[in-house]
Amino acid sequence: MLEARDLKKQFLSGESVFVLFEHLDFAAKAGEMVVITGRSGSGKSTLLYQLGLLDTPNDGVVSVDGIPASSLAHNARTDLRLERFGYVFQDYGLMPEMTALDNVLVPLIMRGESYPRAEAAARAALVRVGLGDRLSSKPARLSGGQQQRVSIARAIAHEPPYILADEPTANLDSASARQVLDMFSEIHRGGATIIMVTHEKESLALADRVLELRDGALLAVGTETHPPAVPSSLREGGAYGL
Amino acid sequence: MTDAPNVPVRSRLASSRAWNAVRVGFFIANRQVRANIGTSLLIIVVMVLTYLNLLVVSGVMVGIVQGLRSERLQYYSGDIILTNHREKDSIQNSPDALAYLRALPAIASFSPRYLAEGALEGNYAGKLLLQDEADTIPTNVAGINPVAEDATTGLSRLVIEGRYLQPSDYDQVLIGTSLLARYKTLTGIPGSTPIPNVGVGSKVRILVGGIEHEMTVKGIVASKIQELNLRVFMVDAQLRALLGRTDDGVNEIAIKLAPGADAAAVKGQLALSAINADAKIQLAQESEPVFFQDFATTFNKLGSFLGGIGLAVAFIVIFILVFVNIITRRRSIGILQAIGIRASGIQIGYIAQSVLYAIVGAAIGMLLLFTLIEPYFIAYPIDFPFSNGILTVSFIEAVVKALVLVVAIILASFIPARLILRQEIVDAVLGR
Ligand SMILES: Nc1ncnc2c1ncn2[C@@H]1O[C@H](COP(=O)(O)OP(=O)(O)OP(=O)(O)O)[C@@H](O)[C@H]1O
Ligand SMILES: [Mg+2]
Repeated sequence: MLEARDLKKQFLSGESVFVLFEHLDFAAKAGEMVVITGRSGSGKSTLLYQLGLLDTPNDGVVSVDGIPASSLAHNARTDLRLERFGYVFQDYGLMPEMTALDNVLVPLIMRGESYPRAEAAARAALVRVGLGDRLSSKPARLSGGQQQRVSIARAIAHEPPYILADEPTANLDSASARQVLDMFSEIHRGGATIIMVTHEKESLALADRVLELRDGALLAVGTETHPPAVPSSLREGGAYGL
Repeated sequence: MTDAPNVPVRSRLASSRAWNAVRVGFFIANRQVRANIGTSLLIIVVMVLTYLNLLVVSGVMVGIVQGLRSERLQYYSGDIILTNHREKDSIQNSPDALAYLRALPAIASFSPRYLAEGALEGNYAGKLLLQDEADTIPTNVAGINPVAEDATTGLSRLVIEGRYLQPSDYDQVLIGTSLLARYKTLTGIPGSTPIPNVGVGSKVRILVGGIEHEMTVKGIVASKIQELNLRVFMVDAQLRALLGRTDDGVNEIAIKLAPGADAAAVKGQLALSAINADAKIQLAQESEPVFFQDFATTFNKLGSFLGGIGLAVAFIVIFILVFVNIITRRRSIGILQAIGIRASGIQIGYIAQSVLYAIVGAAIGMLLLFTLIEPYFIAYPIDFPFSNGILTVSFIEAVVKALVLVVAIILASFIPARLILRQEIVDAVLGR
């Protein structure tokens, strides 16, 4: 369970303090797919960074499977990100000097996999996102959609329980966006908890739950429009079984 | 579904995490070096130049002193020099001393010299009137055995014009360049004027022991060693005759050791012999005049000072290179942190890269230094008026300075990586 309690984030703009959100609560159950929408500038990305332990809130607590992130030392926090999270950034966030394979490989090595096992897992993840033939291409030689798929492969290769995605389809044409969204729904079916920020109508349909961030508060939007194929009670952590 | 499994997924020992950070560090370094071969080569070239700068400038300074010392040892003092005690006119019991030296196997050859203060006079033939003073200059007159002297110091190699003395050369002299205007270089005797219009074949008068004697200039001696440039050389028997010396006392004996002989050990042996009472026994360096040692100290200090500047420059260059290298990868560093790579791993990655550059740079620099630059300086010394400047770098010093380069680069890599790693990850990822 990924949980945020009483979250507050503010920025200094010149002399004045600008509070983006305050007393904000959020919880995602294991295996749930939550989509967060909201107007540009409403703070969706900022909220996602707090949930993913990439930023520190001014107040409140984010806890991951019961571990309060604020209690962790720098290295433990980094280790927690490695173990529990997969990140998909809007602009892909790939290392430019590394090939697609190497990009996926890095976190696997950090997890202590032997080199051959890490490479096999990275290869498999890239095959899964349809890039089995572009393993040794560097990001600059891949299209936006392909780069985003490398980024997804990196996020899922070590099968983390939580995947955070910030507008993963915003820079893609509709065909590529379709492909990427299909991938997320497949990962979701495998049992991962997904929290995705997006505007796309299609992705709203995939979600178990849609929340809108408006004026610093999270509001529920509609109901489960697209019930998952597998009852959530059967979807527990572990391997995705894709 | 269990919502609060407090045991971390696939938890591993902290020590293996640290090890994994090292593995990732080397993986990152490997990929970044390979992806930026051009930049890497450029950095290595700068490292090579920085390393050479660290060694060559101070090495030349030290080399000037060494060049001067070895020139003096070679052409003047030999490995060991015996001189008469100050209060005595000559080395007492000289024949015994010479016999003793002849019997020592560690001694390859030696040259006994008679010395007298005197003056050199030139251009006197045309000066008829009494008030026309002839041109004179004070000098040290040395009476040498030409064969023994040449075997010991190779004096004949310093004759730049004319010919070297033969044992039968009576009424002939060799004259040092500082005494003659025609050959005078930078140095001279303060308050005295070198004699003009005198060269090989000229008639000169030597004033020694109250006697004036006319002789012919047979050759000109030029050296970096001022003591030699101020001398007039003639055959020993003639000087003894001019001085009216009846004893066998010589004034100095330059000793050349056999190859491999230890000068300090031979000196110790001589000190235990009867010679110790009759002569002052000095190693080449001990016999150097005070100004000479001051000069050496000054140049060595200058060498250290320039070496220090080289070090500061090296550190700044390295810092800038590494800083730029790391700052331009700020976003990559943020991404790595975001996806769970420990700061230590990232830091190791950048330090490993930098250390690789430093080691490769120093290795290439060392190779150039010892196979190209040093041999070049030995083959073509810089012709300073007071020394043949060669480059003197010991292997130990080269290794120490390579280590200095590596330590400097580790420090320089540490700081910028630290700065970036301290930022909020999201700021680095988004380039804010
Ligand atoms: N580091 C920062 N310093 C100052 N203001 C910031 C900072 N980060 C975010 N903001 C402000 O917080 C607000 C929310 O930003 P955020 O990026 O979270 O919006 P968003 O909902 O993701 O928008 P979009 O849909 O355009 O991506 C914006 O007004 C932004 O200017
Ligand atoms: Mg955003």
